[in-house]
Formats: sequence, C-alpha cells, structure tokens
Amino acid sequence: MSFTTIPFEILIEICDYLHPSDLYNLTMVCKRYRSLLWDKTSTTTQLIWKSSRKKFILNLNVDPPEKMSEQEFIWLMLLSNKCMFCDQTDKFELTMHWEFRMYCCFKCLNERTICKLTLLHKYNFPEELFACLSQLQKNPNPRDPPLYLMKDVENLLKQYNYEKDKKTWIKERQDKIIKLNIENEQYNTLHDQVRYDHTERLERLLRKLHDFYSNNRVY
Amino acid sequence: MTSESSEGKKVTLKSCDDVEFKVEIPVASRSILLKNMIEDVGETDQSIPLPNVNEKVLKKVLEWCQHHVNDPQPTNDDDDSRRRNTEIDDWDQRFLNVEQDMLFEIILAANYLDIKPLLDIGCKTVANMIKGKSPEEIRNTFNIVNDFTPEEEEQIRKENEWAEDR
Repeated sequence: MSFTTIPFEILIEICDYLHPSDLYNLTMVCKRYRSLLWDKTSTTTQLIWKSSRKKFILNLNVDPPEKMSEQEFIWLMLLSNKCMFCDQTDKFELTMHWEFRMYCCFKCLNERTICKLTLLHKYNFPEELFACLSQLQKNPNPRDPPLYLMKDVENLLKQYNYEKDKKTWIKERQDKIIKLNIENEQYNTLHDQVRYDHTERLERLLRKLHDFYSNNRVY
Repeated sequence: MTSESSEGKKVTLKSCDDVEFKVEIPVASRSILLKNMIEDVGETDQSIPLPNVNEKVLKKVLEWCQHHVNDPQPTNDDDDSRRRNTEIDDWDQRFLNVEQDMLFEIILAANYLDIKPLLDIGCKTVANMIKGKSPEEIRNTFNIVNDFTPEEEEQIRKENEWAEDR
C-alpha cells in the first residue's frame, strides 16, 4: 500500500486537511491525482476545493459565479501571484479585472483591450452593441473612453451576425450585462478584500492617485 | 469509562492471516464496526474474522485502541471541530512514526474498522507530509512516478494558470 494506490475515498479525507495551494500542487503530481482534483464538473472535485476554501481562506466565503469552477475561482481570487500573460510579479503592477477574468499587468491589459472610439471610427462597430459588452471597470482615468476586451468583441460580433432576430437578442444581452456589471463589481471588491490587507489597499489607492495626477495635468 | 457489564469481558478477533487476538470489549469497541457487531451478536466464543487486516496492522491498531480506550466516543455533530483541529498529540505522533507502507495500512484499517479518530490523525499525518511542497517534492516524498510527458506538463501549467482564451 502506498500513496499512489490508496483509494480515492481516503485521498479525499486527506485533501480535507490541505490548503488550496497544496491541492494545486497535487494536481501536477501525476495523472491519477489530476483526474480526481481537476475535474471542473465533478461534484466530488468541486466539493473538495470548496471545503478547502471555506476552511483555509476564511474571508472568501462567497461561491464562484455561474459556470466558474472552484479551482479557477480560488486561483483568481488569491493564488495567482504573477501576471497571467507575462512574467511581471510586482504586485503593485498587477490588477484584477474580474469582468474579464484577468489578473494582469497594465501592458498585457492594453494588448487585449480596445477603446470605444477605435471601435466606432475604425471598425464601424454598431453603437447599440456597446451595451451588450462588459467594459473595463477600473479605468485608470474614469474620464477616458471605455475599454472592452477584444475577445469579447469578436465573440459578440460572431453571435450578432448569426442571430436572426437581432432586436430581441440585443435587448436580452443588454439586460444580462446590467446584471453582470453589478455582479462583477461585487467580485472585484471581494477580490481586493481577500488578496490585500488594509495597509496594502491604502497603498494601492495612493499609488493610483499618484499615477493619475502625474499623467493628467489638472487645471 | 468502562461500563459494568463489559468489564473484563473479551472478544476474539482474527486477522486475515489467521492470527487471533483476545481483546477487552471496550478496547475493541473503539472500532464502530466491531462495537456494532458485538452489540448485535451478544456474547460469543466465536472469533470475529477481519478479512481486510493482517496481523502486523491489527496489532498496531489495537495498540492505539488500548491507549485511547478511555477517550470519549466521537459524535457526529462535532464533525467540523475535529476537522479544524490539525494538532496531533505527542503519543499519536510517535505511534504514527512508522514506515509509509505501515502508515497507509493503518489508515485503511481505521477506515474499514470505522475508527474515526485514528483515521483522522492518519490523514492529518499524510497531509502534513504534503503541505508546502512542490509537485516534485511530493513525488519524492511518496515515491510517485511522474507519468506526464513534457508536453502534457506544459499543457497542465497553462491550464493551471487560466490564461488561455483571454
């Protein structure tokens, strides 16, 4: 008998004493453990992660949004410690953009987003579709035109072109986005509470203000 | 606490390799499986066969039961509190300071015999061997063969960082 052959029911008991970061490491050990711990739809797998989250990350006591697995949720909320797309690890350079499911640096955010004005003037993007998209919530300068995720724009256009009853479809999408905006704002706030302590939140705020005033001359 | 009626009375357990152990009923009753069996069957001279436990492991498990014979029986409603506590007392730590093989055999026996507190400390001990270790360190600790190809490992790393499709 060894750790590689013990039945899953025992392994599940063992996982009950492990922090989500340890579960993450276990998923990379071998195929057998990955099959138990990475399944995004298995109730057992999801319960293992959920129970670990509730036991070890006390202030992350809200469930993931619809269609997001526990392990992705925990990763985004706490475990990721570098930019999703590059090697930036300075935490003050990194920001959570829950509306895009992205924890990344400003440079990588820029590469993946597109400005409203560009969409309008360069691509003749239909005006009524803007309300069908999630826009960047933490815009460095709130007076700048909104930014959208390019991937979202692409997907939206694909569906839009395919749709027969465009009017109804747009209305439905807009209603959905209104709800999503509120939800994403709550998750963004939750993220900041989970990841940063009080001092760190304050420092982030001060740095943001500093950047803002050094980039924008105030008259 | 030893109840009047079962004081001094013994029951015979038989391991899968046919070794018999005469055990006081309160000691055997640390196992919920055996406790229920003894209650159902009543007094008997026949030995209880345990097809899943060998002599070496049974001896070890009974040693634990003997030491913990006076512990209060765990109840279902403190399920959460027992799980939150990750401390293992000194005696139990020494008791579980055995070869890995034996450790897992004890855990399996505790599961089969339904001895929750022993199962718990066994699992806690294994969890403590995993805590804070990288995948490679976990493999070394438990002698696990890495059965991912380099390509699969790269794919896993990507999956685990959730950066795809964004």
